[in-house]
Amino acid sequence: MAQDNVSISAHKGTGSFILQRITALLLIPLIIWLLYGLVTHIGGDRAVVYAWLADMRTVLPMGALLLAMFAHMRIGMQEIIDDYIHTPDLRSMLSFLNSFFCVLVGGIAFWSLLSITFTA
Amino acid sequence: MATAQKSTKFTQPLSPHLQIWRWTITMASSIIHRATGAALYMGSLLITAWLAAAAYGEGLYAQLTLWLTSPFGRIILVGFTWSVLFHLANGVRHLFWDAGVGLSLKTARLTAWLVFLLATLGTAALWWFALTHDVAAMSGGAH
Repeated sequence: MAQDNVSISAHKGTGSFILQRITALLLIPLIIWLLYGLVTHIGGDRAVVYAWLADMRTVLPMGALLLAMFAHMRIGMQEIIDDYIHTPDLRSMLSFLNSFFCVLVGGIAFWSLLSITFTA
Repeated sequence: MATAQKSTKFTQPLSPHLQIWRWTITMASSIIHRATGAALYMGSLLITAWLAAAAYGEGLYAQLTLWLTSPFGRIILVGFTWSVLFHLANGVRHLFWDAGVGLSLKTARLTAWLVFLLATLGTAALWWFALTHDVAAMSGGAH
């Protein structure tokens, strides 16, 4: 807020609030789907997982899950940073690192999924 | 007001402190929602490592599997499972609250207990299923 000399947009809050709830709603079925997929496909060979991940019926929900999950994570961590970090510089730096982490790790996950689909 | 401030130097109530609060189930569920959220943030590295290893090759995937099936890896995965289920169930609770449902203290207490129960039973059920079913044998018709 302005009086704290911290540059948090007053308009961004509503967007984050709504996006956090939309991604939460999307993640309910997607996480249940992922848990079922994981217990039925991991623990064995890579070939089993690879074939499952390359299937279009897996790629679409998994892609949606990754997008929703990394967006949800970024907003959630931002809320933690805003609640506990009161030094403006540190807050800006951690906020940047949070976005950087989500884009980078999310990007690697998404890219891995697509590379399996397109090389399978 | 001025006299009150002067005389209450040692008797004024101090601000609440985590260690002197009597723990309640609703308070615990709120704190653990945030803690599991932070844990799952780190857990996203596991999902990403798993996808990247599957994409990269046989050797790396085998190595990751070996690490995740070690005792240390198992503890991480059980914690991850419980965190996912807790955050999922408690997240549903939050969504109901957003809609104005379940806000009474009695209901909030009950649903908090249910979330802990569901996360724990769900973790046990998932691990029982995973450990008693042969993935390789099922993979033929698992879709």
